[in-house]
Amino acid sequence: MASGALRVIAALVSGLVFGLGLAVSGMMNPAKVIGFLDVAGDWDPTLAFVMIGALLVAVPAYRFIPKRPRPVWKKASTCRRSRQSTGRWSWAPPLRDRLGPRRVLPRARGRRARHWARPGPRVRRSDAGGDGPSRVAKGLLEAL
Amino acid sequence: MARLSRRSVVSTATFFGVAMLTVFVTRHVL
Repeated sequence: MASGALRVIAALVSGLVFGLGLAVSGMMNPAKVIGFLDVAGDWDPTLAFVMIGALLVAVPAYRFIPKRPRPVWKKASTCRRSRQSTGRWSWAPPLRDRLGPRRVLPRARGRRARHWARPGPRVRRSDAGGDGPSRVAKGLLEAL
Repeated sequence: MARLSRRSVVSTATFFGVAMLTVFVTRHVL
């Protein structure tokens, strides 16, 4: 099966598991959620237990996943690994790349300041896909 | 939250804090 189809199936199964978890835990009932938020009234802590259960699964996963070179059903990772050996991903292009080389944010101190101060390639917004027409829009323009 | 980053923990706490405050005001004050 093509990796694209597997990714769609994985997303579908993830959504089903998420929805099933919400349904089984009773979190589709707004009264339960309001019961958790109403600390001054008859407090219902079940939402806290649901969140703790989710963290028990997600925290080890987030420790394990960044150590993998790429997702299972994708050829390359779209997330950048931090240049420092923190073992964490940076989900957006590092601020250092967006600002350009040798620019330190005024409030940055210590290790973070050194991280940003390190010279790095300047990423143009067009390269990052931020500005300009998207690939679909370009195709439409060429077709006209 | 699962990344255990300080920013996520603070933002989640702020989110629930504001929600709890809103529920408190609407149910017990107004």
